[in-house]
Amino acid sequence: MSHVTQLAISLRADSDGVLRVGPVGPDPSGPTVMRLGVAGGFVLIDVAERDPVPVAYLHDVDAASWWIVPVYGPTAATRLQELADATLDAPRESLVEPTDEPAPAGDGLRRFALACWLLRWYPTGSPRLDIPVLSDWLLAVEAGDLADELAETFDAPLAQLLLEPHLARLSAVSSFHHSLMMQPVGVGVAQMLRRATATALAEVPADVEGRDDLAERFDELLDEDEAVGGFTAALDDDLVAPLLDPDRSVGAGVRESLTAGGSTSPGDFPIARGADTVDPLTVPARALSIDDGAVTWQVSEDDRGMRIEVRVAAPAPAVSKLLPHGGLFARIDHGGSTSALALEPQADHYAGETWLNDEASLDGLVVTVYTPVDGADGRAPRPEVLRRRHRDTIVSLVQARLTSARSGAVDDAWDAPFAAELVDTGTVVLG
Amino acid sequence: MTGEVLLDTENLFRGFRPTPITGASPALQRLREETERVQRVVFGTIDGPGSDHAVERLGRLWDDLVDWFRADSGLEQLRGWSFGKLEDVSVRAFALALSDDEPGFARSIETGERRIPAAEWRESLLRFERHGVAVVHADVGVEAHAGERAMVAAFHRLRSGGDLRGVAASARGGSVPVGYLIGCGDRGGLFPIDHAVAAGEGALIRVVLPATSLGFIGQFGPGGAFRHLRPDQVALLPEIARDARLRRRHERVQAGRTRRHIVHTARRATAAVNHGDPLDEVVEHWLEASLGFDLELLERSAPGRSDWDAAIGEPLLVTPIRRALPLVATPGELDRIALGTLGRGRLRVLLDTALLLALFIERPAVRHSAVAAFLARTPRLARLGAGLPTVRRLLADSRSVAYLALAGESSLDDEEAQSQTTPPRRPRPS
Repeated sequence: MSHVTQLAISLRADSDGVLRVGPVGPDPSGPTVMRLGVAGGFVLIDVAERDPVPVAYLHDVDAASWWIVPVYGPTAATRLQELADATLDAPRESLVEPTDEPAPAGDGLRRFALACWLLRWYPTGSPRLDIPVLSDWLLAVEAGDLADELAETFDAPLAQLLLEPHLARLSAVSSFHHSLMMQPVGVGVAQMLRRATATALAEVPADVEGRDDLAERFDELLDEDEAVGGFTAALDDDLVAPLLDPDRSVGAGVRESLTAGGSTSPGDFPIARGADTVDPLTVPARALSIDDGAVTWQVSEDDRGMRIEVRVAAPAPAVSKLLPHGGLFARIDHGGSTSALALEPQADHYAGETWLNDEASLDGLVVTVYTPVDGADGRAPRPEVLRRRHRDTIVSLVQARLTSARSGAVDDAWDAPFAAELVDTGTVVLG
Repeated sequence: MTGEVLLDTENLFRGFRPTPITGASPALQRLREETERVQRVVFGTIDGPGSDHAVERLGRLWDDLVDWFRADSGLEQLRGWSFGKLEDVSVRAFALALSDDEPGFARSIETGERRIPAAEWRESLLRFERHGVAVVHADVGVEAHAGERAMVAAFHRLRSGGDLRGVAASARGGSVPVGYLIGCGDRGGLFPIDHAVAAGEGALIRVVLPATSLGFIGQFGPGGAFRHLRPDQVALLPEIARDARLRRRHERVQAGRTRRHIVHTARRATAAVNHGDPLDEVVEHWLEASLGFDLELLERSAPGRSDWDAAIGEPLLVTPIRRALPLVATPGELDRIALGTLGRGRLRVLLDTALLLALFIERPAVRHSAVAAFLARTPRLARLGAGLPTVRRLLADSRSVAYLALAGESSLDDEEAQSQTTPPRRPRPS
C-alpha cells in the first residue's frame, strides 16, 4: 500500500537550481518535522500529519534520480527531470495529479522517517503519562532494516550505522525468533528481527566485534528449531526490568527532589526556589525526566554572595548510559544576567551549583538545561509555556501511537506500531 | 558463446556520487547542514558525499547488472567494456568499485600509474575483473560525447567479429559475441544501437538506461524515437538494482548463505556435466599442455633459464606460469625451485595449480564448473582438478588478480606476451 501518489504532487524549480517536490513547508524547525538527509538533498516529513507527503528539496537531481521513482512514482520523477533539464532562470512549477502508479518505497521512506523521529524525540519513560521506557535498540534495529530496504535513497550506509551497535542484542534475542513465530501476535516482530539480523550480517563488516557470534546464532536459527527452549535464558533483562522495577520510575527522582528541598547545608538560608521543565530542544531525548518541574533549583545567600543549586531528575540508566561523560550544563538567566554551570551525574539525577551575580534581580529566574550537542550557550531560554507545549506535542504523538499499539494489529502502514512499541507496551512479550 | 557489456560509464552512473550542496540559498544550505548534524547524533556517524560507501554500492550494482544480463540472456561468459573520462566522478567511482576494495590498487588508479597503453586505441586502458567478468575501461578524450561515440565504435567492431585491439575473434579461438548489454542514456549512443537492430543481424541486445533517462522509457518500439528496440529489451538501472536488492533481502532470510552457495555450485556443476558445457579450444589446449611438462628437466632447471622454458613444453604457458608461481608457492619453495632442490611431486602440484590460476586470471569468464567438468571427463587430466580449491581461494584474494592483471596483457590473446621474460615480482604478504 502506498499513499504517496494518491495525492497531488507539486514540483517547483527555483532560480537557484533547487527543486522542491511536495507542498510548501512544513516548517523545518517544527518539533514534529523529521528532516532526513537523502542522496541529492533532504526530505521533510511532518509526523504529526496523517499520511504526510515527503517534501524533498533537491540540489542534485542526478543523485536523487536513483530513488525518486520508487518514492514518488514515474510520472512525478519524469516531470522532475524535465524541470531540472529546462534551462530557464525563472522559477518553474508543475503539478502531478494523483495516479495509481506504484511507488513501492513511499511508505518505507515515511516509516523510516517516523522511526527516526521517535529515536530522536521519544521521551523518558513516565508511569504518570503512561509512557513506557523505550527499547531504543529495538527501534534502531527496525530503522536499520527499513534503511536497508531504502538503501539507494541515502548516500550513507545508514543500515550499517543503525545495526552495528546492536549485534550483541540481536544475538541474544535470535534464539527466540522461533518461539515468536509460534505466537500470532509476535510474528511481525519475529520477522523484523530475522530480517534485521540477516541485514546486519550482510552490511556490517566482518571484523566488527559481535558479528561472528551473530552469524553463528543466525545459522543455528536457520538450522535448528530446538532453539525455542533456550530463549528464556537469553532474555535481555533491560527490556523488561525498567517496567518492573519501581525504583527506576521516573517520577521518583522528581518527587524526592521537591520534597527534600535540595541539598542545602544547615547554615544556608534559601531565598528563592523554583522548578522548570526540561526543554526538549536543548537536551537529547530520554536523558532527563519529561515531568513538569524536573529541573529544581534554589538560591541561598551567605556572606560570600548568592549561590544557586540546580538538580535535574533523570532516570538512573540515563545518567550512566545516555550522557556517559556528564556533558550536561545549566544556564541561569535572571535580571539580565547569565550564569552557566556544569551538572554532574549522581545516582539518579544531575546536580551542580554556581555563584550568581548578586546585583541582578532574582525575579524571573529561569534555568535551562542543555548539552553542547543539542543546545547552545547562545540559545535564549524559552518560556516555560513553550517548553511544555513542545514536550506535550511529543508526548501526545507518542501516546497516540502507544494506544494504537496496545489496541492490537493495525494494517495501515503509517499507524502500524514498531516492534519496540509493541514490546514496550507489553502487547508482545519478548520472553 | 560470449556476451559483451558495453557501458557509457559517465552517463550510466551519473549522480552515483552526490555532489555537495552549492549554489542554493544560504538558508537551504544551512538546513542541509543541520540535517546532517542531527543525523550524526541519531546515527552516530555519517560519511559525507564521495565516501567509500558510494564505491561499494557501485560495485554491488555492477554485480547485479551482470547477474541480470546473465539471467536474461542465458550467457555465462561475459566481457565488459567501459568508456569515459577518468576525470569524471562516476568513472572514477566505477573504476574504484571494480578494483574490489584493494586499497593499493585503488590508490594507484587515483594517480593513474597503472594505465596500460593500448596501441590501437591510443587512449589509456584499465583492466579489472569483478564478478567473473573482465572489464577494460577506455579513458576517452575530453570532447563532448566521446564516451558514447567510443562505445558505439566498439559495438560495431565487436559485431563485425573484431576485437577492440584489432585481433580477429577467430584468431583468438573465441567466437563472435552473440549478446550485447548496452548501458547508455544518451540519444547519440542509443540511435546507432537502434539502427543496428534494424539491420537485423540476430544478436541479442539489451539496453540499460540510467535513472536520469527515465523519460526515454516509452520511446522504444514502433512510433517511438527508438523504433527498432522493443520496450522489453530496455530496463532502467535503478529498477534492476532495487529488484536485485529486495530479492537478496528475501533470500538471505530464507536460508543460510553458505548452504545456498553449495546448492547453487552443485547445480551449476551438474548442469555443466550434463550439458557438456564446452570450453573453447584454447582453454582445452592449455589444460592439455600440462601433460607435456618435463618434470625431470624442470627439477633441475631454474625458472629464469631457457631450459626451464623448454621443460614447460608449450611456449604459451611459460610466462603465465612464471607469473602465477609466486602466488601458489611459498618463498622457501621458490628458492628451492630456483636451486633445483624441490621434490618432483610437489613441483608437479605447484605447476598444475599455477597453470589453473593463470588460466582463470587470463580468462575470467571461464567457469570453474566448466573446467571441473572437463577435467572430470578427461582421465588423463583428472589430477589437475585437485588444484581447483586452492585456485578458488587464491582468486578470492583480489591482490592476486590485481597483481597478475598488471604484470602484463593477456597471454591468451596477445602473442607478444610470450616474449616477456621479466621474472615475476613477489606478491605482498597477505
